[in-house]
Amino acid sequence: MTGRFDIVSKEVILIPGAPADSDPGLLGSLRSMVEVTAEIVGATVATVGGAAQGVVVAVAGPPTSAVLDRVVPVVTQAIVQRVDITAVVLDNVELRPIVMRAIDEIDITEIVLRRVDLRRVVEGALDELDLTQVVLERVDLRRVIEGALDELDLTQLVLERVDLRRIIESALNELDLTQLVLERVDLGRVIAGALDQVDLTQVVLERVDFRRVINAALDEMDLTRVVIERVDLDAVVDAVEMEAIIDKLPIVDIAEYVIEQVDLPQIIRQSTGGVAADAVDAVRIGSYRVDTSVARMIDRVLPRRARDLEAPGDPESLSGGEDS
Amino acid sequence: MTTFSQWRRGEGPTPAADLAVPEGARAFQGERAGFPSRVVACCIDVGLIAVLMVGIWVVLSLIELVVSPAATLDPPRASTLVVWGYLFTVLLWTFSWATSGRSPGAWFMGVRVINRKGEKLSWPMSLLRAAFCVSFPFGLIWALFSKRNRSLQDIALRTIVIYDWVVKPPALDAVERKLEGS
Repeated sequence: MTGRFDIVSKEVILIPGAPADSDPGLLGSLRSMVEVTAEIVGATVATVGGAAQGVVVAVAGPPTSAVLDRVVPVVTQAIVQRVDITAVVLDNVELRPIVMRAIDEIDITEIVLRRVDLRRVVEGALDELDLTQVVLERVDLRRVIEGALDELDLTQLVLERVDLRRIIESALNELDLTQLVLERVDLGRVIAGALDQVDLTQVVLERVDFRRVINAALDEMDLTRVVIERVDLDAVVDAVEMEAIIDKLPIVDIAEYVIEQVDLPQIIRQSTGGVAADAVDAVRIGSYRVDTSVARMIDRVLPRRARDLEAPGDPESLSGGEDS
Repeated sequence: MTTFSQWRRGEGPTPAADLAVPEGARAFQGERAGFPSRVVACCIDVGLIAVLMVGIWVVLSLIELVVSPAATLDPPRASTLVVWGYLFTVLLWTFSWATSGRSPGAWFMGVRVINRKGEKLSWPMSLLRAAFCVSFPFGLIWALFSKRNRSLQDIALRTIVIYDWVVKPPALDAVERKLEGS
């Protein structure tokens, strides 16, 4: 009798449809754990069942198989409902060794990866959580970042994985870089620092095409006006040593030029020669006309071409030769 | 107006000396002179010589009257005049042509005698031409018919007579000399 009750108790507690050797992982371990627990519960239920059987035997006499089959389950059910099994287990079972043993035997990671829809879990968790807030509160970000930076060659990583050109172009498209620099950068310090480090004169001498620069500047400027407005020409003239300049001038040529341009000879002729000179000129002109008239008349009579009056040399009157 | 640079390069419209010549006469300066001008020039020279000889005669007569008041003044003989006139004319023309190329008559008429190279005549050539002209003045008539206005003397001695008026006014020349001297 006692052995039959034991068998009945085990059939009630065991999880049906879970083959013992089909899942050596989590289920196997859980099964072991459950079996241990079931043994405990079974012992408890057996104790309760034994008590119930004793009650039944005391009330109804020696039981028959049919009576037991009908009564025991009902009684057991009633007892189980009255007993707080959880409290019994918690009071009587030391769960920690059991759980630790199960965890040691289980590859939880593998199980989770196989059986858990991580995406849903994560999405659900993210929906529920303010992850940023959690991270800010719970994570020592400095340590995390420092640890990550210690592990990683961040520069190499960025160079390999990041499309820097796109990032920079995108950033430049988004930003008003000029405004940003003007607002955020101490340009005076930057320039001063750069100038301290650079031999600007040397750089300009090497890199600047002075001819182009000067030509462009001269194209843009009205240099004459600039000089007139900005240069103290009187001071410049005062600084010039005029005697040295005059020494280099062809004074005689200049005097002759002036005399010629003001027609000084004619003035002198008119002022000094007067009527007599004019009379001589008139006589000469008249005689020349007579010469040509007579010659033309003779030439008309004689059957020949016009006279050839070219003479060698230059007349002194035109070449500035000796005075008469 | 000609700039100083242009003037120094000789690009001016008129050289300084040109201004001494009236504008209307500049075109024919250097051309061979015609017969009328040359005849007038010769006549002026001969007239000057005549005046000179008369003056000499008057001076000599006055001197003679002073020395011997009783002396009578006779007019000079023709042969004497011819000889002295011939001599004075040769001297005058020789000197004039060898120095400036202009006798007084030639200066007045604005003509000058040069050789075939356009230079002044040498003294022997001047003397030769002067003697030829005085001894055979009719040789000048050939200039009327010559295609190049040449007289017989010009043909024989290869000389040329050209129009060449007064060169520079004395005042301008004085200015230049003063500037060069300084």
